[in-house]
Amino acid sequence: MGAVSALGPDVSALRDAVLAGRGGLSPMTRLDLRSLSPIHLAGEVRIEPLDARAWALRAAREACADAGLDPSVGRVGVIVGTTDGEGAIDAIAVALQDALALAGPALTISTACSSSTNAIGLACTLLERGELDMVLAGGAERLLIEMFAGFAALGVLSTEPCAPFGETVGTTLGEGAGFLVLERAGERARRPHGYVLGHALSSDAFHETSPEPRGEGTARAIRACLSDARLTPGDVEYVNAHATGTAANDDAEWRGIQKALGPHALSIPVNGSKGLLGHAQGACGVLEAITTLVCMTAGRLPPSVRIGKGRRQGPPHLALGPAAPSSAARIALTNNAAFGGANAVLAIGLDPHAREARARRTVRIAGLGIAPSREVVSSSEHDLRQSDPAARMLLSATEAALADAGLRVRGALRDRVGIFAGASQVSPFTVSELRDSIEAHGLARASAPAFARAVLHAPTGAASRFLGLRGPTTTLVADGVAGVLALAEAGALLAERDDADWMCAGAWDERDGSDQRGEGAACVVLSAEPGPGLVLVATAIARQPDEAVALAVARAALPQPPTIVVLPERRGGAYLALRDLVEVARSARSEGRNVLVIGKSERICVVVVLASVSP
Amino acid sequence: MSGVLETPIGDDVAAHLSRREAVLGRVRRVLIDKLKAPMAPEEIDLDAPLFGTGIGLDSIDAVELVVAMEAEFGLRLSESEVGPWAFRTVHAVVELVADRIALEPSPEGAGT
Amino acid sequence: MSDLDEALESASPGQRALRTSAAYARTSRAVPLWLRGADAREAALKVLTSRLLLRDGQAQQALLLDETARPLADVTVCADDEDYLLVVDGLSPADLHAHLNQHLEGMDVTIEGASESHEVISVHGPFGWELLVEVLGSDLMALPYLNFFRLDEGYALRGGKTGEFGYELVVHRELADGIEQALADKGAAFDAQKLDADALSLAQFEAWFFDPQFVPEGATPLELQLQWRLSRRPFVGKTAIDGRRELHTTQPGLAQKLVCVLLSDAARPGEAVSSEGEKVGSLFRAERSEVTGLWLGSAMVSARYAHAGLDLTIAGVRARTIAPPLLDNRSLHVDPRRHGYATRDEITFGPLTRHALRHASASTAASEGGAR
Repeated sequence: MGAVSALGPDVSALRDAVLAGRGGLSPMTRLDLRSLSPIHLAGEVRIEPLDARAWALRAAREACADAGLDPSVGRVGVIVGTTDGEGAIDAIAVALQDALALAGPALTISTACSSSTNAIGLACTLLERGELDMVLAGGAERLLIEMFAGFAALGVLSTEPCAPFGETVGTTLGEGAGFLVLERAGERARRPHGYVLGHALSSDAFHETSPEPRGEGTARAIRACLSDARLTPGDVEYVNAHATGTAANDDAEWRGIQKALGPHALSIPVNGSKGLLGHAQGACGVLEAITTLVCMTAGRLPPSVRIGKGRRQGPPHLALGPAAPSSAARIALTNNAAFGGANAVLAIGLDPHAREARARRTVRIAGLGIAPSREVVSSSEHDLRQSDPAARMLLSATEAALADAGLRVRGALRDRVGIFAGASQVSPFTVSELRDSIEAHGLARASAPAFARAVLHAPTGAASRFLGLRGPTTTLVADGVAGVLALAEAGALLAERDDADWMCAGAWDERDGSDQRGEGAACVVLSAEPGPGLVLVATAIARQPDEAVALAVARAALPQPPTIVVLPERRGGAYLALRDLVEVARSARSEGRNVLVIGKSERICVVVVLASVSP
Repeated sequence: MSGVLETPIGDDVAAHLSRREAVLGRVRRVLIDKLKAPMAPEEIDLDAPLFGTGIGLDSIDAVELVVAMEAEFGLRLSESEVGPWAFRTVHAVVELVADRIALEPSPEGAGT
Repeated sequence: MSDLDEALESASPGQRALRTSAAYARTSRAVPLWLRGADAREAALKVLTSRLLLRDGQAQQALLLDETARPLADVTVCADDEDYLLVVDGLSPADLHAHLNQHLEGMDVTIEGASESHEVISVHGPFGWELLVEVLGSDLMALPYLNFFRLDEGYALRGGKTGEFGYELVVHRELADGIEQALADKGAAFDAQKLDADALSLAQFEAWFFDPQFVPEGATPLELQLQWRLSRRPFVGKTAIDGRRELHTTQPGLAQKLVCVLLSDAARPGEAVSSEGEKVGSLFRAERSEVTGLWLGSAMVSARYAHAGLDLTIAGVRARTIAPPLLDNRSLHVDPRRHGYATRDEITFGPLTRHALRHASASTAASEGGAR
């Protein structure tokens, strides 16, 4: 494990501070927040150099050293969770891959505040599948003044240090970086810090920023995580909640925790760590997982701070104060939620827990859809008042793909359909709107609607919301092939897990200014239910194409070699590669061929094998 | 339905109505241009609610609305000063602005 | 504002409970009905005026019009998966079915009346949400405005006809008695009262929520200032509305609006409304608001005069136009996550109304006239 946080430059500093109940929230010095007064606090990181890339590298190196790992040896990849990255959203993943000379792929997950939890879950998936031998998974985030402006415009920042489930309402922003080195259990003699017993994702499909008020999304993700881990609610001994300290989040989240764990939720400690670390956004998931694990290892639990009178009907067992006796836990959940409604949950344990594999399901391509420009009009059933071209294009492509698949998402089916998307940068329209509002009216008057849309996951969240897609969700960045990666992972999820029966895999790009070439969105609907269409026989991910192809061919085990199609390599973006794949799929479907499609880039190669089902 | 005779209005009343009508026109424009209200100006009635129903603004739009009105009319209209009733309908905003303009004569709007 | 305190004290228990704690009603005016089938959305778009840009679980306020654009009913339409639940106020079940059958003929839609199978119980008041939590469970405090939850008992819809925390429970008929009993039992801790139809009507008037029982002759949504309930697509009554808009454009002097007025005393519906001695419209409705002691009225006036702050005379009674609603409900200051009825003294409520009519004599009114 490695961590750079408001509590110090490494895991040891974090551990010491947490066990002593010593928080890291203080008046922000690096940024001038005077125009946002009385907002003035943050979980500021004062480790130089002051950028997320450097913090990420520091934390990653600490984790590798801790693991006794030379990251340049073997199939080691990196998955970074982040909202803004550094300059570009995927800049941190790229920097780590270069600095550590990784032979494995680099990719980024950008689902705002659940990014790094999401990243850890995806890392486990890749490890179990045998894609990689080790993964550096975590996240990094550096605070920008626009974040303060945006959160302030939403009215969710506290003027006092935040107190998850406590008397003070509102959150305090934080920053930092954290990484875990994850490997398959039992492969090395070295004793691990702990185990990821299970993981899951879900989508609230409710609102741009507010959580589904009854906590249904959180409940779905927790139930799916327990199922993945083969645990029962009674096995859970502690929950480290997302618990930002806002009224909306804490209330909804606690409802969701109770729904998923039943009455047992009232008998275990439940709290959040943002009162110590601040809300580190893209990095909060991994930092909170590390916080949870170091405490569990010490036979303790992360303490609650500043609870005061608490909240009406909040969790009864808050593990108050550093000196309060807190029961040791060996199995815990760590939960995160995010703008756009992307929930991610991990089950962490000090002991391994056996899981028999599930039966694999056959996954087919059920529908295809393209929105080739922003001029496309989606159905007139949606309130698109505060939407950007990216969201409208992705919505349009997804609707088209669902129609092509003949799938009406209704009733209980909504819980069983998810959406993964690939993208590369936030909608330029939205970025402009946010910047213009700050330029015209000042930081204290930033546009809240624009800020809510200024996370990469926002269009995915919008499609999820308008179409009622409440299953697993994520947004990926991967150097030109993010859409193909979304397809591969959506397919793998359907094949290997049982928390969805259909998945939408999409990609979008929105251009800036007058040149809108290359702009558009594509979507593929995958199904684990029997039916017509190409079968997604195998997927493989590696850094080098040869490796990915060899892996895919072995997995596909087709009687005849498939036709090989290499998608044109593109720098950045996500839509065009998926669109190309859609075209390949269409012709393969009509010609009854098997194809192996290679989406390659400098940082990652994704291979998918599609086979025509004989009539 | 019987029409009402076109009668000349006294100066005070005429001035009052014309001031209010002018403010209404500008509030309608702000709602359409800045808050993206999906209707034509004449479709925005005075008594239309603003949030949740009516024009259909969301809680996220609340600060945006205040900012846009402040920018348009060159006023400071922080909600904590005027109370939660001040932004419930278009009419409430028109009243608030018209009263404040009357108290703080300023150049006709700062615009954006 | 001791006048206000006095008025509240001497108001009937029902009105006082409605504005300070919680109240409930079991009226038969609200008629529930489902539109189901392949053409359910098309059917809803045809007979209802609104845009229906709704996700499952959301609701919206719409109107049911006749071909002349006269409002027949107030409708809260709920997107219930792929079906539409309509809670209709203003038509009997028989008349409602007749209207729908007439206009939905030939469509693949099932009109499933629910007035036999279900009953509508409404809950009101700044702590209505808390009473509902006691009766139907903790999730009810998380029900957002213009949303609904599906419960074992039926549907809980938050629509707010009398205030921000106004709920309609569409419950299975056999459960209705039990729920009313539970509201009464749990309501004791809230000083809750059961309301009758007249009490609800007054409360709705004070909240300036459209009441289909009070539609002036020849009025369309344009006069009633309900354009926000109208979509641009074709619906029953749209042609008449377009025609009326056209008329108002070519002959603006004919345009009228329904406006909210405060009166210093009672006045009769039909009386002329005058500004500076000239008739500008007529009084349509006047009621005494018990909780404020003020006389609230609605008047149809020439559209030019449809602004607040005008001094008027109505049959010798001094009046003034105001921006509705009359009341600044206590619910504006209640946050269910932090507050409760038992600790209501910790909440700082504003006055129940910002409005007061200067009590001038009739003779002063005649000589002054004009605007503030």
